[in-house]
Amino acid sequence: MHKYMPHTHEDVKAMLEKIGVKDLDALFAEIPKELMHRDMDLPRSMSELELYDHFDKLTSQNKPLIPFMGAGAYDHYTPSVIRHLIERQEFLTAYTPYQPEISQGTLQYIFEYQSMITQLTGMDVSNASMYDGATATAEAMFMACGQRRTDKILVSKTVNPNVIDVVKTYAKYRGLEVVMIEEDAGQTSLASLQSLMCKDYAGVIVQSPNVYGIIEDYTGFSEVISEHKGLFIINQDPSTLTHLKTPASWGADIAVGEAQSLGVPLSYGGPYIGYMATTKKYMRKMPGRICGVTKDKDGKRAFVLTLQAREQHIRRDKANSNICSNQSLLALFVTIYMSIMGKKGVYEAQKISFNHAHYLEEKLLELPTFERIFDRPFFKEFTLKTSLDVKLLNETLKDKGYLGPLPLVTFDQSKQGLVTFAVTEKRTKAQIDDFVHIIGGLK
Amino acid sequence: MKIPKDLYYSESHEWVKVEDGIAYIGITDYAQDSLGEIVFIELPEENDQITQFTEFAAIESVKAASDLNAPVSGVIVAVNEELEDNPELLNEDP
Repeated sequence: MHKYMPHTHEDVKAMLEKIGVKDLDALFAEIPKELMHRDMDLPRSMSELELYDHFDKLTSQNKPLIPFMGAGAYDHYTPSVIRHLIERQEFLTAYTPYQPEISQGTLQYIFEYQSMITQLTGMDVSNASMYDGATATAEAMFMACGQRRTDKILVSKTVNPNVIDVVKTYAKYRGLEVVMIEEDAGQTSLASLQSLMCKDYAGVIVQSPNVYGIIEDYTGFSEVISEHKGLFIINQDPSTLTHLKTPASWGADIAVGEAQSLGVPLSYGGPYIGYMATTKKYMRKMPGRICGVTKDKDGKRAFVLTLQAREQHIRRDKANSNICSNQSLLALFVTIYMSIMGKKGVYEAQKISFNHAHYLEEKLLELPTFERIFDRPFFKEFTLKTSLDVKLLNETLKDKGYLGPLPLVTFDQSKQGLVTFAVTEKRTKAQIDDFVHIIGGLK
Repeated sequence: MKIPKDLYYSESHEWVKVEDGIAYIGITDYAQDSLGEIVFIELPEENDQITQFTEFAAIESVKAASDLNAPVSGVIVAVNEELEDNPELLNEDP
């Protein structure tokens, strides 16, 4: 209870006397005057009842929508038991403990999480997770540039623009140059990669399913990239790996992505969880924490943090990355999700999402206002061209309680009329039919 | 502790031996002993240009990770690739 007690005037006075400072103003003298907003004109404090009432009023302004939008955030089913488990006090802390080996339970679930990620991606080693898919992609760029000792990287134009932005921001402050690979009818162009790739580039970053929802075909990519000793980095929604070819089978050196789709519910802006996995060859270059298993002095199984020599608390300024944390609670979330759903459950959830997305596409194409522009396979997200006023379309859907598709013109002026829909197993046939019915009423 | 007389030594515990215009570079017996069990070595690649007194390789033991500084400048003509798979060879015969 003592942690919640504020300091009394006597406490403050005693402390100031001890360190020989006259008053609080003298203590804070270092802080520039203009930053010292001591009179913030805050409203008077509220009682608990008033506070509840205040927030209820604010919350009632929210309008819950049924999403048909994805672009990196997917509305999948979350078994309610997960929340109860992660809220146990033994788990409810965001960090790998600073005396990690004392927390065997935490290390064990991280180890299980890593094992699941390596199973999904087919890679040799996974780290303990990262902040989100975008920063994991940027860290993969650092890893490649550190390994190859060059300052240029190739990124496909079909990568989610939000991810590209984060990669470019990270690159800017490390003095790295990001060069874009052209797209060819909705997929990363192999011809463009071939003409650009040379030993100046540390690696290549691609995404599948990409910004259009298209499942990319990487036949021939790894050969072109490895010929110039570059690292092949694939960003992939891990939930789709239940059905699709693994990054490892495409010859990827680093697999990254956003693992929110593995049961983490949508909330405004996060929290998200990035994953990163690599091959044995590059494991000593991988940023972040890695949990390993060993035996203690009595021969019992014990979990430890391992390969720490590459981390900043040992390598100091020469460390590849300054990340020394992980998204532990969300890693636990993903681990429990996969354990509860099981191999079959995770597979089924994605299969239903796939089927529902294809059903919606089929229904929309029956309308005169939509046409297909890419003749390529997609998973649970797809892009169509519409002759409708996109703003009106989304306003109308919002009024009816739906979050409409993502207009790609948000990112690129040349993409007028292109809209991207996402469908998960949570969307019922009735919802999809109603959604299409509303759109069908528009001209 | 072996300190062969026919080698040149750097202050950061690398040795160099010149034969027929080619310089061989290694770490000293003292260095391997101080580092303890060596678990990983990152070597430069053939044709890499290296500069005297700057880092050109990295070595990791169970105790620490350190950079290796080039005792001389030059171009790498060959690396002992066996070390990448069996770094403990450095402990046995630095």
